[in-house]
Amino acid sequence: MFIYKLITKYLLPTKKSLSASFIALLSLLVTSTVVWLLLVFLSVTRGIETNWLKKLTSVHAPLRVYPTKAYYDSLYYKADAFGENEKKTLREKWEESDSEKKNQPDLVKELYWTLQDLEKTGSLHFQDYECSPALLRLQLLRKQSTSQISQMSYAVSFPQKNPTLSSILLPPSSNDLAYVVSTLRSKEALERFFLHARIEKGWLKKGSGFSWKLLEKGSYPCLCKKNGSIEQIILQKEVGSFSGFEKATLVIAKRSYVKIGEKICDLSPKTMLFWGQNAPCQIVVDQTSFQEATTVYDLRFFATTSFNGTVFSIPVFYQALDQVEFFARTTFHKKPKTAPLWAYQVQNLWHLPQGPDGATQAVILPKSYQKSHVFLGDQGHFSFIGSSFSSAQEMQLPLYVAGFYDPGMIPIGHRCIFTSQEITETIMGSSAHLSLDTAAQNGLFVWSDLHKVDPLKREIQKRLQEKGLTKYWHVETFREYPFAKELLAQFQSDRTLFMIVGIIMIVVACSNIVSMLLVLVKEKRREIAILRSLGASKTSIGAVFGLVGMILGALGSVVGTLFAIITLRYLDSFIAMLSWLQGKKAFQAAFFGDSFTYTLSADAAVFLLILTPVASLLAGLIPAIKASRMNPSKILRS
Amino acid sequence: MKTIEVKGITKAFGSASVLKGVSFHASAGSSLAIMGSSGEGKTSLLHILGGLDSFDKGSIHIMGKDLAKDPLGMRRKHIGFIFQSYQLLDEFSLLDNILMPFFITKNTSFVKAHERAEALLQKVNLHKKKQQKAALLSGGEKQRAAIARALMNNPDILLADEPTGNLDRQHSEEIYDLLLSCAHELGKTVVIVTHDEQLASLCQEKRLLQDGLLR
Repeated sequence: MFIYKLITKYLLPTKKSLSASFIALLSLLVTSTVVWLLLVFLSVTRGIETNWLKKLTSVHAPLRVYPTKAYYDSLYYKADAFGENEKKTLREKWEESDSEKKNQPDLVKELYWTLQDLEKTGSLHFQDYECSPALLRLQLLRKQSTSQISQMSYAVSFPQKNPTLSSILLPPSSNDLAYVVSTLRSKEALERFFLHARIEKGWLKKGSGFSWKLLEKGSYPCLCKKNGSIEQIILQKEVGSFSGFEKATLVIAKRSYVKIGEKICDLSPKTMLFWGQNAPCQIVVDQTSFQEATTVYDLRFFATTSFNGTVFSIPVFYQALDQVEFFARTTFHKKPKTAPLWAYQVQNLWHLPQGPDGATQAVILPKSYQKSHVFLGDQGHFSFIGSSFSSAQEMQLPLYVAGFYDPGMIPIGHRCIFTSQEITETIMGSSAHLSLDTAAQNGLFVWSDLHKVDPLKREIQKRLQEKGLTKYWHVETFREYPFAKELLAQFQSDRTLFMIVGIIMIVVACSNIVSMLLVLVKEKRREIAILRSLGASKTSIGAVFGLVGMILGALGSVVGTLFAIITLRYLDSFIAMLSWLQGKKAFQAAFFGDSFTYTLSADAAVFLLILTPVASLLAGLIPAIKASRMNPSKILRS
Repeated sequence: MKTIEVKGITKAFGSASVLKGVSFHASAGSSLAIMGSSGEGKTSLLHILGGLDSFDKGSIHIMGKDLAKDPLGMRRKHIGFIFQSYQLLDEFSLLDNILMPFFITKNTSFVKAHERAEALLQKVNLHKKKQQKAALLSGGEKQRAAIARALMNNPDILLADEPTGNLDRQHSEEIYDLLLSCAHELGKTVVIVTHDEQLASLCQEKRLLQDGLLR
């Protein structure tokens, strides 16, 4: 009890022990600052790593199973291939009739059955993947110019069963939709577009005109130019930059007219009204206008706007609209009869659409293409060397950009292009394509919880072993992917390094606590002697100072943790401030991703919340031992 | 019953020999005054008796038990200290100061300890100031509080080091009464190291420490 009473007294600042109080406050400040900085730093780096892993395993799955050399050398693989071009993919092997191979194990089907059994337990989802190298060529047809983009790429079959695909696919932006609608050249394509997209709002362009007959009854302030008869009426209250115009009142009634001062001028049926400035409006497409439309510029829209407190709807063409904001629907409960022009999800499955012509295969590009001004709706082709019995020649497969995805910072991420299996199979079927390692070419992606990947790998291997198929299949977790291995190892060593730096920083912070406690012991030596004369043991005296150190450390870590939580909550503002101070972006999105994590790293928090008080307790031991070894008799005599 | 039995105690600080074979004994209810010039080793002898300091040779038995074997236990159970400069804990209240020996030893329940502290404060006539910080008390009040604190754990022996050294005559007399009543009324063994002739003459026994020996 006296220990608690003494600790309370020693921790509370008093006038008598100003120096100890000041050092205690300083120790608290240093410890909490160190904990704060370390926690923010470790949380952010942990967040970057988690985001990166999430992206990696969203694009490539956390586990993959692919054929070994033994599989490709097996009779099973070679048996049904008359020539190189006929060699079958895993999917084709799975889908083929098994009537011909009754006397030998079906290597692919056994694997599929193994995974299907595990899928039924809910521990995984799987899908085959195919990857083929090809040259991507995109033609960017713009109003001002036409350009081309060419890049050697990996055409990867679209992993539609991937449960995390939604987290990396970017929804079609309004700009993308505005572009794609402007490229459509048929009534069917326009109908298809507007079936799944709508214009949320936009602006009526300044200077766009419409008939006065569309206005509701009432009187409206306007500007009017008159030269004998009325030449122009502008719907605007103030004259502003319109020289030669006079303020007037437009009256829409049984007899519609314009009143300029005291003069009244009747409106002719052909008199047009013009907008004096851009006017915000709600826009809906006129469904009847599809009949004769071949481009979006042929369509009519109803723009609902208000002027002078009166709401009215006027029919306009696309040209009269500005800053149109599109919105696209991407999720459906059941498969739509007419697919949208972008990737869409039906319940848990994602689908790739065909192009506006209904035949061109779609591709989903990494978001880096957006920086090269590629839009949804752009077209191009995959180019690859195809072979026949006598020659090799360049072949082209037309393609259509149906969306973008965020690949994270995987080294090969910006070269992976999702496309349909028809395309990957066609390219793979060509014997002259650039060969990839067998792992990357064809296999099965297996999705599961990241933390359960290792036991899942063991389970799959065990089941394959029971069937005697181990030598035909290689099971690999994301940690073993050749393109990710080094980066993951780097993350691991960075984390170890940060932990070591963290420990050193905490030890340095604790040296303050040692100084503070040494001052306190010196100040309280008379009290120590009195307490010893009253029966306090050496251990209890030591415990007082040790615990003061530990409490200071614990307080510092709690305060630091609270500050870290607040900092992480307002991290964007903090980074914006850093960027403003530097005059350039503080963190590059290419490396760190578009946004930082805002969650405190639980591992780091637990580590620091344990380490700091323990280190402080250890730091308190030196003064504690000093206090306990004091000779009370000597002190009391002095 | 012999509460203190000291035989041939020697103590040297470096080459300076302070105690050269001190022997005496005291029994319950007795009061012993030890006098002597400054530097003769009176306080050292008192600290040795209370187990605060060690001795080189000889033996001390407190309540029949060897002090050297468990000085802390002896101090907690059988000994109460009173110092010349009071040695109260200034930042604590008077009540907390009185209760401090209980807080350290926890030898009884808090309720009983609290009752005893209240009674002791009544005895030394300080009950009205129990919540006051010790630093704010006068010299006489501090020494009375120190006596109350020494009695808190109901020790058998009170060791007082110049208890009236910092007090005027009037306050000193209050302390005489209190200390001697501890011997007469409470049956404690009171050992007082003092220069105060009047206090010494009031004690049952008066000894002189000279040249390292008690005469």
